[in-house]
Amino acid sequence: MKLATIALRNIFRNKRRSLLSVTAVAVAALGITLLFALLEGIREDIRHNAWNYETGQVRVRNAEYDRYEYLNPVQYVVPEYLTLTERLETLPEVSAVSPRITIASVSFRGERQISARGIGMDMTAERRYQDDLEGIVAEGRLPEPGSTEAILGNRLARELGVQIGDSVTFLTQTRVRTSNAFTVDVVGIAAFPVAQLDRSTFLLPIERAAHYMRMGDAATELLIKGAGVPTETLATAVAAETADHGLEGMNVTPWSEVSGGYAYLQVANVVYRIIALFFFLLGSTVIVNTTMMTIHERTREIGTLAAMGMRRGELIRLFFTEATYLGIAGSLAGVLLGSAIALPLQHTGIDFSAQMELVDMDLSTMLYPVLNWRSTVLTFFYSLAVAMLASFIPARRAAKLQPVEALRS
Amino acid sequence: MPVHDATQPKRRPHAGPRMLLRLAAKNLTRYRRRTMITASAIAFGVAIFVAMASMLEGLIAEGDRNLANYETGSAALTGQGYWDEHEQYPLDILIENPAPILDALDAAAIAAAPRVGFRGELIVHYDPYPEDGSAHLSMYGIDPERDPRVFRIDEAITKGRYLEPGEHGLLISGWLAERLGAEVGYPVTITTRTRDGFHQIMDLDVVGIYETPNPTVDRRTVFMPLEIADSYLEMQGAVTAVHLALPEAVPGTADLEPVRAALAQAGITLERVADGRAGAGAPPEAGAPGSAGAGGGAGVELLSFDYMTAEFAAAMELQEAAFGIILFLLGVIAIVGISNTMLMAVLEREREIGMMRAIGMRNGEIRSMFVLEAAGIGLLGGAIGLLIGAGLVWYLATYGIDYSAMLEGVDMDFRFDGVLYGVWNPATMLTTAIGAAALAGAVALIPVRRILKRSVTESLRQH
Amino acid sequence: MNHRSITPGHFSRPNGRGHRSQRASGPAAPRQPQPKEQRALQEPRARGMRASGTLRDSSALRALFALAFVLLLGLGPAAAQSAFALSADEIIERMEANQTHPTSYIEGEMVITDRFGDRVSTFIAHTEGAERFLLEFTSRDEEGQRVLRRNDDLYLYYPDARETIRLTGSALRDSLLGSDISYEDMTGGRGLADDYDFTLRGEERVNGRPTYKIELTARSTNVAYPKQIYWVDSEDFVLRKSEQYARAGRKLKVTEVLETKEQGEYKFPSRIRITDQTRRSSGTEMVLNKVEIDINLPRGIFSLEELTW
Repeated sequence: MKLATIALRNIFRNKRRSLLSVTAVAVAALGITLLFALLEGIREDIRHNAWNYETGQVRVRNAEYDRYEYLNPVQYVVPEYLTLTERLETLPEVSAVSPRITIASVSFRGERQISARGIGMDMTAERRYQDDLEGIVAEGRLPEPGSTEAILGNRLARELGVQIGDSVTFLTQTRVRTSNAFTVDVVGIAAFPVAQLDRSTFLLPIERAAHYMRMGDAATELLIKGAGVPTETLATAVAAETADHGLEGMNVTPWSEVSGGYAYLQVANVVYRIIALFFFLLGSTVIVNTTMMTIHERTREIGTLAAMGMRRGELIRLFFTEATYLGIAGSLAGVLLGSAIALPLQHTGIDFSAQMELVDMDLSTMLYPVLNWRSTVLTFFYSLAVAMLASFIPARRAAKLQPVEALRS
Repeated sequence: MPVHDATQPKRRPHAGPRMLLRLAAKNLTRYRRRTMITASAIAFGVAIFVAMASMLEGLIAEGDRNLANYETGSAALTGQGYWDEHEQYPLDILIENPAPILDALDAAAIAAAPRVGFRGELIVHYDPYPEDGSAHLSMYGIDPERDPRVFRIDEAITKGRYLEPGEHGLLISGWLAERLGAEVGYPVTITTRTRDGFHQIMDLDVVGIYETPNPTVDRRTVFMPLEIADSYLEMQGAVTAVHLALPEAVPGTADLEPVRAALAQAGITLERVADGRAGAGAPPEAGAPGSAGAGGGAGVELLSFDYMTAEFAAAMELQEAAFGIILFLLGVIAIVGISNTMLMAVLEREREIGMMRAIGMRNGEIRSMFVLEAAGIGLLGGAIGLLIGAGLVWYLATYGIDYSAMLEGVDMDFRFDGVLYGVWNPATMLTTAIGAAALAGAVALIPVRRILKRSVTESLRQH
Repeated sequence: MNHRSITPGHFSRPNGRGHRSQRASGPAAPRQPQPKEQRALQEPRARGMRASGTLRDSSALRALFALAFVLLLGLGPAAAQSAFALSADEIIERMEANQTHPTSYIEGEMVITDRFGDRVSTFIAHTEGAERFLLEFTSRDEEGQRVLRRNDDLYLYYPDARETIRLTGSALRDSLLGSDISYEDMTGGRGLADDYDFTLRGEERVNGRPTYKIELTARSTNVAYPKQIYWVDSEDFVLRKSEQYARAGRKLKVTEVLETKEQGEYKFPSRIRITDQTRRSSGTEMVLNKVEIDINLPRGIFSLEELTW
């Protein structure tokens, strides 16, 4: 009889035990799969926020603006942003461009001054840039292009004490460094994915922002997303096009150089690796323990087989084969089940709002896990390897025993 | 499969609880290997879970620690309504006479540091600076002797030195120094207003450059000796806040009662103790504190860490929730690991159970015996797990995991330790260990029940 | 616009601590007792004013008094040279009289220099006494922006905004269009005597003109500058220069009068430069190109309703 057949038969003979072994491997694999999906989701979230609201994948700004950023040097601009945007969008490396005008402003509430940051966006083009721009709307709607409408982060709205239908006046400093104030109509309350934005940001149509800030045909910055190309490639292409356009003194910066989100992501990556290590550790001990227990319980059986003349090498291989079958079944079940849980969550998300009594409005409480195929495959092979290794050592030990000894145990 | 030595139970068909206990204990030592495997499953589960919980809590606490160590302390005393306005840095809601408060806190051995917070513009000029520059900043007059008892700015000095009492010195952040081109020894001019609103100019020298892990502090704060702020702002001894450091592992967990008691003993009654996170975003009545003439200094209120940081707490919620899920997943793996080993350990003993029944042991007795045995393994495993876990947590809390080497090309704008510290949480640790032991006992019951439902002969037939 | 606003040293700072109600306009507000004869003189004159209903404030009255005094004694500004052994109070009073007009219409411009370069804003202004003015910017980038001062209240109007902004508290410390003039420099101004004590520190020549050097020491804490020094022309009582000091004695701002204008009985600075002593690269120059004094103001020009037309 072939070893493989015996192994298979053994597995089915003690279904209960096999099931327990498989469960151990499966749960470990499931846990790790879900963990990876969750962590990837958080990572994706950080990147998403950085690309949409912080730096884009690549950012074009006036070099002087970067240099004096802490002084809010609004006079340093990206001129003729419309033509530049058009040209950049024709590049094969570029998927979307979002021109922005930033408005550092305050609103007066009695003696209090509430700081707010307006972002002028092209409300039509922005929908191409952010696939889910509508997703930030918690109440009401987005502003119409060219209108005096605005959507306010919900904490900002609360701080200002305004609701949909109200209007708010902001005081700011224009490109020519004089002051200006403007009134916007609140048509929406936003739940920005970042608490910081929720507290300070309002979005308004770029045409109005340009007028309020006396920007003319200039923008504060252009955020650019690539068409699935590496950030460096995108940055190079954008820089070349910008220079070709005749614009000088511009900084084309990849997000990896300036984004706080990117830095945070790097730290998160390491922290997540440490977390994953804990999972692998525990997963391994669970698999090892279960396998050890199985083989321990079967010491007598090993004795019998040895007494029947099975050689040590064959014995070890038999147990190893059994473990491999169980490992494959467990890993596969775990990874598949994990994916089956994670995949639908990729779209529906996990709603954390219940945990957040404090944040009464729906501040980005949704987390969307992302199944990464590479890590899922890795998880499968990892669990399998641990299961096989775990069986190897106790099987070898058991096989070393004299048949009589083994039978007596 | 273990062969049961049936002599003992046979002679004592009606086993008492003590008897059962002894039996269970004997079984534990007899099947040492099985006991070891099962116990180690529990031990590993407990140890890793405890270490992970400690690490995640450490991650969450990191943000809080950055707030407590550089901005708020464990708690603070301020004038009535100050906190609602603190971002405007009002100089009319004050603690007029902090001396008796400090005395009372000193007497109770509570670390306290008075500060004067105000807004000002820092101005520098070409030569020695590379170019003219200025920045509107938050400024704090700090007591160079008391402040380090509550805050850690002194430990964050990367160039130059910390402040000395009464000197015309200034601490600026590395972030700002880089932008202004400032070095230690360079002069700066600060324009601000006195308490009464007069224009004021201070000429100070940069004596130290600090870098904290708190970017908010680094980007907008400079520090000078309290005496300087007091004399230039004509505070007449008044301060904007007295920050406290209380014994606590994680910011926000300290008991405020000793503070209240210490002040009460000195005859200082608090206007209000603002605890919890109730203060979050509640719009204060417009202009109330400013116009109410609260500057009298009579009303002092005690603000908890949570009250002062309510806003940041909200921002951390998502991360906390995600960590909750991570811990839950880890818990599931541990539970399945423990249950699996336990189930297997019991199921393999079906013949033994059959034997016990054959010799007349009652089902209840068998159940109790197995549960006791399992609980014994659970306690053993839990205890070992707790020990290993405590060791891990100790390591995490003391040395932390230094992962700075694993970070490539991360250019943080603030000092970044790259060390992940754990947090001691005895309650979590104990709960985990006891929970694991209880789980082991409870899980053992399931297969025993199943086996007991079958006929004795059937059970005996199992090999 | 009142010329006072171009000499930032004059004005007190309304604070946020409850003095405001007390300092509200109106005859009921407590103020320094004035010599009896002055009162006797100012009252009949006040009654005869065109816009008497709105001219209730002491400094305006005092300004008128000063004017009346000069007229009664037959001393025009040009003849003021003969004024002998004047006290510091009298010198300041004469200077204020020169600068405070019953009503006026002004066209002017402001050149603001900061580290990022120069820029020019033009404006027109209407003033009434010391306490009311309406400033409207006419340059392209600020066109239609208005600043209204009514007594101690300051309102900003922007064409893009549907509501006016009333500046209070620390917002008053912000600068006007990024210049070296803060909003609070534009308020106050019931007359320096309300807030400062004057000491004559001798006579000096400034830009070739003989001046009295007068030190102003803050009497109350309602003002932004604890100490100022004024150089007032000893012949025509026009301010020639002023310096504002911070509490610790450091010089904060210097105002230099580069040109003066004469209009009827009034002679006043028409081009001044304000430099911030704490920074080297900034300065503000204000020029009054056209000034008409004692004109008929449109009815209700200083009302909030009119602010938004």
